[in-house]
Amino acid sequence: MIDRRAVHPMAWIVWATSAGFVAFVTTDPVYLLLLWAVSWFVYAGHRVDAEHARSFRLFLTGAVVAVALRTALVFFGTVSAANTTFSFLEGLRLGTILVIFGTFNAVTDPFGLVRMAPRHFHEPALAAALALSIAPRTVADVGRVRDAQRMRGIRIQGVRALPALAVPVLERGMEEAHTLAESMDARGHGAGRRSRYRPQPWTGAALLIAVPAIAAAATFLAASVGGWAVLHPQTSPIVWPEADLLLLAAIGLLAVPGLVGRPER
Amino acid sequence: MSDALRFDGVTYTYPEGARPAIEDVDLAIDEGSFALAVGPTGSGKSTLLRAANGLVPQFTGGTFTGRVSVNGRDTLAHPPRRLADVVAFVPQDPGASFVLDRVEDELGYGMENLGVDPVHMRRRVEETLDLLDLAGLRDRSVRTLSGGERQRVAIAAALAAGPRILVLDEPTSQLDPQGA
Repeated sequence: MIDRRAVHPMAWIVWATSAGFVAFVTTDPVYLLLLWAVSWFVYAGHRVDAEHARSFRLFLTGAVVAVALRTALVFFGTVSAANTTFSFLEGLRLGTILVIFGTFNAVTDPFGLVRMAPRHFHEPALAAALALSIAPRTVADVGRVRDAQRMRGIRIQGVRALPALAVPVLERGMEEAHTLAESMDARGHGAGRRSRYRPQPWTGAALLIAVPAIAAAATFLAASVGGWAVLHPQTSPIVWPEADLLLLAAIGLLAVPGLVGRPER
Repeated sequence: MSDALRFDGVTYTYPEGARPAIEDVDLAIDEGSFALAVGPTGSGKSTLLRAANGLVPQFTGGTFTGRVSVNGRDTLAHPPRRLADVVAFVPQDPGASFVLDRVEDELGYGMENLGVDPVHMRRRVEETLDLLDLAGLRDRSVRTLSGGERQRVAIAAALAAGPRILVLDEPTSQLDPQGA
């Protein structure tokens, strides 16, 4: 049993980077769809009750939209089965990276990451953390604004609700980011001195998250450089995508964090 | 300069304000004393308190005249982070000040920034958890706390840093009459 807070945040950075790399080097739908499944599996095993976890759905939606938009781009040119497939696979790759990022977002505490950044990178790390925390905060704000609107008897559904929703949500988001920055400053963030309350050790669980992920990325790197497996299935003419057993196993390695258990809460 | 907190002729107007939010404030608070700012909503209480560690005007802009000094340090010459060892501020919305997810880590955050050594830090966190009766909440995520719990955690986090001046904006707003 592992507690996500007991896991060194670097382990998750390694996992997400490795999974993202795997998605980046292939357009084979077999591998990509497996990565969606793996991301969901890891998310399901480690999600927390906090608002962060809810943002996974946001990224999932974003991924589906990305696939649809990228595929739709074909209609600006000559439409053929070959280039529609090509576009779809490119979109699927982009969507996969979004889903992986969504998992990363759901299982880590962005400000936990800031604390472990070396002093030199403190400011960029803070900016990254604020950016990472935007998605979950936005999800929470949408809920609150909708509740407030409902209480005033405003019932707008679907796309037409967007403008009425966007303004207060963006406003709140800006306000919250400002308050947070203010509070961090008032509590001495970036004053120069620094110590660590609880140094986070590299536990067995952290190693189980990071090491198999590195192995997975290395396998795909080898396939990409060595050319012993097809990473980009031919789309003209369209052929059934191949699935190399070794590469399938490598993606399986990315699912290991999902097996090491749920956080005890 | 023995006053812990001192306002000299402070007038402040928000960037879009037609009138000053606080006007010609003179104030001297000794160390070890307790002061209460009372007034109706919109009378400038929060502005006054936020001026005590330089959040006003450093984070708000606007027009500021006069001088605020904490422990002899001018709030215009030092950014709020350089005053954090002297002043701790708990905002009106206690949840807004949380940076970390776990209650115990949140209590250590201010001390981490001040470079307090880990042994001393752990002892302070334990003392503060006991003092405010928060030991049972130490592993909780701050997001799952009730309003009153959040307020106590925010006050504890401010106290743990060991400031000479503690500024609380509406510290009992989330507590029921019995609790307050």
